[in-house]
Amino acid sequence: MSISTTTSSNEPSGPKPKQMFAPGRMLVYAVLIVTSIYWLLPLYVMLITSFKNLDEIRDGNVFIPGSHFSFDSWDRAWNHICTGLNCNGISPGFWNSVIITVPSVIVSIAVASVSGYSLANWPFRFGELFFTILIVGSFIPYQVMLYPVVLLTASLHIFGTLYAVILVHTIFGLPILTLLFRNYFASLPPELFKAARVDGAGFWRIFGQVMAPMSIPIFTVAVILQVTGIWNDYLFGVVFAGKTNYPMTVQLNNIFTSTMGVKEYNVEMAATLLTGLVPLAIYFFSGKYFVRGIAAGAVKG
Amino acid sequence: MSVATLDQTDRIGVAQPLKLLLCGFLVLLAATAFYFDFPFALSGHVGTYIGLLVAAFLALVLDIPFKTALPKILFTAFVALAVAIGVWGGQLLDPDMAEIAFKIAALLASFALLAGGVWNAPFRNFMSKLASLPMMLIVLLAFVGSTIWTMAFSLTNARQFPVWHYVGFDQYVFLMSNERWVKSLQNMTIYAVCFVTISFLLGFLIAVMMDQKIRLEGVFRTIYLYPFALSFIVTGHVWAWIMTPAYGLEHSIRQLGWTSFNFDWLTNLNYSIYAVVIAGLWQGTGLVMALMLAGLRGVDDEVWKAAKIDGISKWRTYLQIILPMMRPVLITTLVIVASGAVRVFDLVLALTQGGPGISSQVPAMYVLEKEFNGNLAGGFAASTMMLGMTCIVLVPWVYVEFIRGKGQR
Repeated sequence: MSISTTTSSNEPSGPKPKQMFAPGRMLVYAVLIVTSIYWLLPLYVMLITSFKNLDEIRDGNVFIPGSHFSFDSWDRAWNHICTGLNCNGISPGFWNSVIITVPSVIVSIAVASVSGYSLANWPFRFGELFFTILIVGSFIPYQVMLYPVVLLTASLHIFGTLYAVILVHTIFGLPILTLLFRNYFASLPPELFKAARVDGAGFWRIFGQVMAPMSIPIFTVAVILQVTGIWNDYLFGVVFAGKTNYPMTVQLNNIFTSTMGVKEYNVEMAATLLTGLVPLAIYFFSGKYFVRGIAAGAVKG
Repeated sequence: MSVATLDQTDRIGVAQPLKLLLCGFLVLLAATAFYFDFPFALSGHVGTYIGLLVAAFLALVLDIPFKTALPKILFTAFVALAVAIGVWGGQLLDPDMAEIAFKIAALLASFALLAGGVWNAPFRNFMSKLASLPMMLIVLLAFVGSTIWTMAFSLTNARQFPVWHYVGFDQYVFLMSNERWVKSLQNMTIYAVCFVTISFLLGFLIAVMMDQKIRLEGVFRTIYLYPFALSFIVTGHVWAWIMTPAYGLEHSIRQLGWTSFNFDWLTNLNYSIYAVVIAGLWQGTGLVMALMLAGLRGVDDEVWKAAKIDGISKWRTYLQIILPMMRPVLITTLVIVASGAVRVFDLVLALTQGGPGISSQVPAMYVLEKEFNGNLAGGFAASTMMLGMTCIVLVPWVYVEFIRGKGQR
């Protein structure tokens, strides 16, 4: 930030950066720090709870770390805890989520990028109408469309399989992704497109050799958006995937609803943290792209 | 846009073989509509619906407003016939006969397209249309078609299977007298109002703070926004753990000496929905903040200079000048947040499972439970009402963004 360079640290002469100590500034930092603590608290609680043992949880304070430190509950969460009928931990759910996420991301981005490219560069009659319906449709509650889409997948004989989930994620990811790609392609200089047309390149050639190579950032944004979105999905996973393909979120929820006897809070928190780990990792390593992805949703179409 | 002008000169001559190929494709679509293997008796409804949609879709792709009269007449006739047979088929008692009627209707609908489309197709930007085919099909089948289908079947008394038996608005009458549904609506309203109000106030406050040229801005932003990367299921379970009276916040504060401290919202009949609000705010306020910050950064520096010259204080500038200027951002954020509040589901499921009792039920839960437990029409009616509530938010926005905005450009 250019702001921080205004206060030079190794030069004692000149006016003191009194801004830092002005009451207004203090208030700003106080508000920010207090709210930050509220925001960080759940992550902290999750983390320390997952390292405690059950006795410490029963007697101790939820905000104070336990004295003992072990990865036992993480191991149990990954390999042994019961998710419904099976008791082999949340790892099958993890792999199911991977199996669901990878093809869903690829298919949905492929469809959306080509649609966005068509809309931006090769306009056709009613293209904008379709696009408008798509954007407005993205606000319709999923519950309205859920059952007909179930019928649709059933009549295609893919209900309860991986293909159904892929299809559904492609359908419901389409609005935001198409918006993302359309706006990006429309923002590229039209001269590029025209030059390629003059050189005799066709629809696919321009897309593959001119547009796509220039669009790595937006593809990155789309991948991040879809990976986190699909990984975090619960509804479509539980309805469309079928029992053998339940993604991690569904299995995590099953841990909480199906535990008999003593509840292992530490293991549950470890499992929760494990489920959140993938999107969190993506978020922390790709902050800028993530923010750009969510901001794209708010930019007018 | 300059691209649009390009389109005018961009008639690609399409060879005859390609035209034939398209005809073949249309026939294939018609055949799929006809031979679709439906899982339910009488589901020929789906056939009609798919047929009609395919018809409408092709009409659009192939640039119907027709130039000559014959295709226009044929198209209209086929569609009318298809609808008529579809309606007539709905009255038939014999399911097999009805199904056949529906399939004929579907076939006719597809023929309508053949009649209307191919003879008139200008084939302009043909590859673009072909490439957008999946998108258009999704719009028609998944978004438009499914919504209409759900609304239509909410007027039936379908239970286990989507059988067409018209009963008018009975389902809605029942819903409004159903205690659980009314509670769900109340909860959704409470959640939406609390969530929108607090997230806007807090989001704006934090965004303004972040806008004060502070140090470590990136760190703060990362902190506020990370819950948004997490699933609602994860959010719900974390907060459920923190708010569990026996182990969480209440227990911990009491342990510190304040023995009369009470925080049992999670298990309290009157407050459980507010527990959902707390968790929801944690997850979603970061988004509001990020959008508002983007809006603040988008304000021209000149505005600030002008305000400074006029001697207006910083806080008044924010409230009376900047805030009104951010209206588009605020409206868009409101639409996103409010429509998200209408469909809140996973969060409640993970946090309270709708309990204790029915105290934190929300409409989305009601819909799913009815639809997958043999009361289809009830679920459809409930989801149609959810759609209605989304529309309350959406219609003014669509009007401003798409209709009035178009006129101004």
